[in-house]
Amino acid sequence: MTRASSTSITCETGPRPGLPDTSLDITIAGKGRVSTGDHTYTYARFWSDPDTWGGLFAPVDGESFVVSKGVNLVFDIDHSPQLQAVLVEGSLIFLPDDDENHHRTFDARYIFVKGGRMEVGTEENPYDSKITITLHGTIDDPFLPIYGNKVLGVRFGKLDMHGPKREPTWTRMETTSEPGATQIQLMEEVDWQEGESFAVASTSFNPREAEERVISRIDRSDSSRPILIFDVPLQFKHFAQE
Amino acid sequence: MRAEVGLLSRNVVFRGNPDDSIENEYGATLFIHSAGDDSLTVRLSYIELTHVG
Repeated sequence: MTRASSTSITCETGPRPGLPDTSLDITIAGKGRVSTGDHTYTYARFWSDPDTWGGLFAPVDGESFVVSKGVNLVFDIDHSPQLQAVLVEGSLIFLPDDDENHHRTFDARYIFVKGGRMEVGTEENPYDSKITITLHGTIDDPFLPIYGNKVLGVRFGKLDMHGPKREPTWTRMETTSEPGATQIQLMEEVDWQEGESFAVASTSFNPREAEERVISRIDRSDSSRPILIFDVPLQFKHFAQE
Repeated sequence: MRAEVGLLSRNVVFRGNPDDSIENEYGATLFIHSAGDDSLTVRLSYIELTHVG
């Protein structure tokens, strides 16, 4: 142990043969064990740490890598290179940034979780900054048996991907909108933000009349009946009446 | 009847490459499969899937 206060303990570990499971057990001499609540200890490697890559370079464009069984790898850089294949037999963990507008990107042609774990937020702690995982490839690329290409495949193991809760994820229109409308009124309060996209369902027999727009502004002067304002006019009428 | 309006954007995005997925009509896939009951766990919530399928 290198340092301890009433709220934190800093420890240094030596090199380890193999890796322990996630756990946390604190004992104070003469007093006994400490309640650790929901906290756990994970022995993890950071992508940004050269030691993670054996003192060599971290992967670059076009390269593949394996997260071996027993290894917990935390992806702590902002943008991955354009990776070829990523094989996850240990844990690949994406941690959110403190800045909610921070935007991480991860690009690969194949991601294959084989008996390992990939985690982008958890149910308890959703990934509350931004992350975009992009898969690349064409139909002509080599197929993984069963799983194909341009794929995030999971064979045994665990995958968790959780964003912050949104309320509501969908609602209904308050009033009918005519073709050419650049705003629509909703029936209830929403946590939606400027810059986000929404879809309005078709209300005719033609499902192609569903439309997608980007919110440029939200008028919340009546917060229980917010008005979404957008730049590109709607092409079709969308009906809303009891 | 009232038209449904749905939010499409999320902080966590899984997508195919937007430069060619539509043009090639070939998006990204999330393929969850292994042999045997309870052989894997996948939990997804409040994420955005785009340029897929």
